[in-house]
Amino acid sequence: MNGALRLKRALVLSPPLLWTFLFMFVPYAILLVYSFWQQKYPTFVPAFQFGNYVQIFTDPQYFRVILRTLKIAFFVSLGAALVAYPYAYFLVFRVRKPGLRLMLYMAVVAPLWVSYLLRAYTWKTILGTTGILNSFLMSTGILSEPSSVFLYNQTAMIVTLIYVFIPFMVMPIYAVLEKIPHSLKEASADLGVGRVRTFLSVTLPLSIPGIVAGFTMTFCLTFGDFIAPFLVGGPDGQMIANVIASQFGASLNWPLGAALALVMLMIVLSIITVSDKFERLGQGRFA
Amino acid sequence: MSRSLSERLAWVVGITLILAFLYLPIAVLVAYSFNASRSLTWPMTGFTLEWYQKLAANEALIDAFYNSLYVAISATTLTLIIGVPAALALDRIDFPGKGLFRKLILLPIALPGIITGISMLILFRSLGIRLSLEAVIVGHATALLAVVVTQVYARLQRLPNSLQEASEDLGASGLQTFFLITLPNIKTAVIGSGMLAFTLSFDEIPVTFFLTGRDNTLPMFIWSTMRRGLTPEINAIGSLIVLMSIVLIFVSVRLQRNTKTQQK
Amino acid sequence: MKKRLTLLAQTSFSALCAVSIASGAMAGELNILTWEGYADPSVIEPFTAATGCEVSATYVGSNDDFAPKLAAGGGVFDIVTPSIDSTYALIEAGFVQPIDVSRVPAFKDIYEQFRTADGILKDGKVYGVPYAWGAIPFMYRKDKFDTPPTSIKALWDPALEGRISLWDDKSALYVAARLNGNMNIYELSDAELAAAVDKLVEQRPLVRKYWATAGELVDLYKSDEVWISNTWGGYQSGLLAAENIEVVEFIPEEGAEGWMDSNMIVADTPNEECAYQFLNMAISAQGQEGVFKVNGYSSTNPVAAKEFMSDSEFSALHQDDPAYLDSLLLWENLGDRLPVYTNAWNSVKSQ
Repeated sequence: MNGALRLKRALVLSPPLLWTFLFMFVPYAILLVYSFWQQKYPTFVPAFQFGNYVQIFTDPQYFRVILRTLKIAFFVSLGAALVAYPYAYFLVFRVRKPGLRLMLYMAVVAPLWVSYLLRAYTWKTILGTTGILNSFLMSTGILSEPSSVFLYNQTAMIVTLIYVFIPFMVMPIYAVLEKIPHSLKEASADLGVGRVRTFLSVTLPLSIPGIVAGFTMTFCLTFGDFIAPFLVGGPDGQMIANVIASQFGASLNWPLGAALALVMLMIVLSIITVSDKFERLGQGRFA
Repeated sequence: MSRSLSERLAWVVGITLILAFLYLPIAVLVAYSFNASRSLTWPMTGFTLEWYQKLAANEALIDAFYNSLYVAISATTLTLIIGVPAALALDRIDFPGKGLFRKLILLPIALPGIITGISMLILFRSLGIRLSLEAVIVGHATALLAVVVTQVYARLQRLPNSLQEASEDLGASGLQTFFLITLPNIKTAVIGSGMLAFTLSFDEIPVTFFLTGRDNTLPMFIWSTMRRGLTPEINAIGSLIVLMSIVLIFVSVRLQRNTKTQQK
Repeated sequence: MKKRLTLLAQTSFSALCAVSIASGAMAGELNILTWEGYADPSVIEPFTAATGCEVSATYVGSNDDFAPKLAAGGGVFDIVTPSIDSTYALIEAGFVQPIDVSRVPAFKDIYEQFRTADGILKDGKVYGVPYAWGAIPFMYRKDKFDTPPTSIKALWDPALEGRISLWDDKSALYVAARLNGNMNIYELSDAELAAAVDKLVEQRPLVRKYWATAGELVDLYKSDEVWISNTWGGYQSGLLAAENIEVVEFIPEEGAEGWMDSNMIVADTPNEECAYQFLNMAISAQGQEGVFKVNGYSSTNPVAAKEFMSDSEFSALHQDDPAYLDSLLLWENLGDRLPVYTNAWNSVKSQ
């Protein structure tokens, strides 16, 4: 019996264990090894040296781009949360019909189906100098001349990325709001607490894990994006993923690219750790 | 009364604005698939079905679409085969290295795809495996594992252990218990996470970008077409996908209603 | 009787073998990594019909895509078409194999300076068959300029703020260096590179967008975002002309870069026969006409070009004017300076 149980466990365990070992642990390990390699014309050679890391920490361009990427990721997550929260709240607490609720929920998730590239690309048509927004503003008399401030800058990137990643914010927030028992809100109301205070003292705290999860997800997705700068970013739009991609492409400097990817990995890991703490904090206080 | 009315109005306006934000670009996308000019610039020039006809004749685009389907279906199947046992293991079994395993398996959900992409690119290069759609499938399955594991695991945790114990007390084998008791209870989580994984794989760019050989998936085809300037053909296929997902929404709403009535 | 039967069986068997071998040689496949327009159906379909080689093409976004795609492992592509600044690195990395010129009869017809270019030769062996060439001139919207620009300085003119675009490529450094008076653009010293970076940083607020692809530049002109930029001579202006947008190409006082693309055979390709068929087709009149019609690029084979170009086209594309080739700063392999250039360009974009 014991042997059979052990065998069963091994059967359940081994595929995921093997898979994670082979396709996650090993690749990251090789990535680490590569980061000590050295570029040598025409490609790169095995070595053990810290030159790639020295370059990353001494050449200010990497610091600047990482900082810029963090800034953009923060604004995207913030913007997405500000749009997604009321939407999810509305679905959970204001829509009575489950069919309509599901439909509105799917309405947010469905755009994921449409090519990311196309969804981002259409923003060019909307925000461009001769785009829809400018045409609209001119026909209403708000603008007399088309403005070029809407496209090819960091704001355009932020708007586009909010748009693209919003489903990833709505999903976790919806999930936590759905779990909040209506009785809790009712109890609060019964105690004569106003709705705003009920929201601030019951609903919002309980939904913090969802906000944190969505924030983390959106932040990390933006942090690794290299498409938006290409489509709607301006001359100041380069992000860290673009730099990494160019090391694996243009410069054919995979070792430096690997080192940069590991720096990125470290940043993401620390963000996850912090957000984990945050999430647990929220749970600890209110659960 | 009037306060709740104005409040409702505010909600409706706000939600409408959000929906407008979500769907304006899609409306533009669809509108331009009927635009006479080949350029995607404002103003539009006239109505045509030309792009849909061209789409029907564009073999490379259709191939790319099928490649995307192939990749998404295979990757989803694979990630479910690996992910459901992984969630079970996390929930039920104690084993050495569980903490690391949990961290590792959940990592890609937050990790930028570009890191998964390049780390696997380096792995495949070291192993001498040639880049192909199959390499992409492995990449997607790995990147999406976390989606399945988190959702199924969350559902398992809500499942009372007593259910499984009762089944085993009644003499059911582990496999029987899994198929008769556990699986039906986590079914919606499996289906839901599978659908999400499929959706994400179908439109995946960063991992595909580094792992595909000469075959294009749909997003990669669009990406390479942007080199020469997009034509509304791509809008046409985008519009068809929009149509498809609308159908899916209605189907799933229907399905949910049916299961609700059955439960009653 | 029995003996005859055996004989019959033997002959038919060997006949069968012969047939299958012949059709095996005929029906091959060929996977090419190239530029858009270089595998146009108008050229590929007749080629497949004639040779039985099924062609599948993948397109690069930049010259910098070739080496990484090959570095990631072999077995994927059979033919690549990099430009002359990238060819030599591919040779040195062992990604491509030498070409037996005797199997490419028209090779001798190619302009001498192309077929003897340093970038495609190593140890006396030929590694590339030149296919197309052109300049990286500048262009501007005709209706937006009263006095036509003649210098790169126009791209640093504050009056044109928000109307300027530049190729998102190390080529931007070549432009800035020439403006600084450094004509040795492929051998810039660190100080000269730093000066070029400064110049580009100074220009950046005026730039609307660095264009990354041909299609993007066309869109930028079409949607009235950009009035002046550099360009791939003949290509984008042709696409814009088809959209009724009049742009004028010009070679500035500071000169222009030149480029030349060659077909190369990927090392250890299993489809060598089809690869040679393709090399031959590419420099035949049919192949050269294809790239001329689709991309508007100049021919590397003047003998073939004469067959389909009118006299005026022949001179418009400088096919009769070898001195023009010399006036261009033909792209060169940057060798171990490539990452330095790439980093310099990245640092401009990081500002």
